[in-house]
Amino acid sequence: MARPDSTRTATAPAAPRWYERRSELPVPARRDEVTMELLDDEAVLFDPQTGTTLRVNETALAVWRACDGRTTLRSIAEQLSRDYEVDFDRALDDVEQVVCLLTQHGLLAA
Amino acid sequence: MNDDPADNRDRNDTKRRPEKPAVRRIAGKLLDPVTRRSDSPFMRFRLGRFDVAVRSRMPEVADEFAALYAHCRLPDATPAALADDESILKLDVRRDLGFGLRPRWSIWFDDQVRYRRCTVAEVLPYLEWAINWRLVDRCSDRLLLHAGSVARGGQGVVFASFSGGGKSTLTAGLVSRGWGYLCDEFAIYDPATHTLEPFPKAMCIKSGSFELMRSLGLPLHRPRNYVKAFKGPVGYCSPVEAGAWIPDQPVGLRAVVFNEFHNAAEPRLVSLSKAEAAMELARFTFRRQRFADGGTGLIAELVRQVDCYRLYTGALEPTCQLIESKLEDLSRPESEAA
Repeated sequence: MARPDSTRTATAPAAPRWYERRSELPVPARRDEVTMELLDDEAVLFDPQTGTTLRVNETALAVWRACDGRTTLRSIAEQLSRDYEVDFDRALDDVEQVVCLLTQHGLLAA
Repeated sequence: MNDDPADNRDRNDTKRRPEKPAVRRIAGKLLDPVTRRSDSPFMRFRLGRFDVAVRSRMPEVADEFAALYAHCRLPDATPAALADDESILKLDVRRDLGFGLRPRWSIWFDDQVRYRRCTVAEVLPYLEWAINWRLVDRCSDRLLLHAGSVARGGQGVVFASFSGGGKSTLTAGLVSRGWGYLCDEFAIYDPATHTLEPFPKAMCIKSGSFELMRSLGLPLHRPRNYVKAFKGPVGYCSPVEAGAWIPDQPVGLRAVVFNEFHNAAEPRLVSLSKAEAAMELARFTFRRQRFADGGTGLIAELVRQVDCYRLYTGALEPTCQLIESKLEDLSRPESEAA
């Protein structure tokens, strides 16, 4: 009688975790033309080409500053996780949301 | 009373103005230069740092304008004397050519027509509107906010809101309590000196606030039914007749307030973060695209230096009291406030 497949399943390589897949996303880079005005802990970003104005809070500002075209999402999230003492998963979630928002507003380089 | 909603029409609504028959259109174009020629003098006024020259072929409008702006009248000037001075805003009310029974009027500035086919009820409101737009065009070195601006004790306060947000009513309410009047429609902010400039135009009050103005004892000019596009019936109030003092110098800006009108609500002031205020202020800045950075640098600099609030306005009296007490708090030295 053939043995059940359970052992084979157990030895199969594990699928990459969701954040590992996401970290393969392009490295975010802010556009040079976008201006930033620091106001206390927050900032206002302005894109002179489209007239888009966006207010970013402290966390989003940290992500914006880290979008230098060299740092990966994963590294940004690790940094955020250390600075704000939050879980890495939660930090990565936040980073992804902010990058998504900045992309939607056309503030990051394509 | 002209409360007919059919009169609350937008200038851009082309449906109400069918194309003229070709003959009338051609006749109008041929005769236009003839009707334009006139040597009658312009009335001159000084509104803040702006010189305005107004002439009207409709004598009633000229008289009403002169009465509302008597506080800033200058000696009249001939067209020839004004011809070379481009710093003066020149406005001219001319009769439209046409064969209709009801006369129509057009408003010209600097020899270009701005508004055509105004009814008698619309002439003064559109004349005022034309001045406002010329001001927006000319204020290239100032931040021009869509806001009422008033002053007390040498401190300026700006009330920014969209049309219908209660800027003029709140401004009139504060003026009736002894505040200085700068303008009910604009805040002209000079970033170099961090001051607000006066532009003491007549206050334009919408029909919903007529009773309130009367209850405050403010004189409402309404010798005819003025109608101002989507705003509907309006009346005017001369700031001087209302007892307002008009600062002759720019006033330092102390607070920016974004007011929202909520009927019967308890008035309250909520403090805003600088970034939130900057975003709000960007919405109320005219032509900010003329600045290289969209005016964000100037707006940011402005909000860094003032306190910013959102005001939920209700009844006028308690709202004015709330603002006065807040300004008193802000005026106190920090040690005393603590």
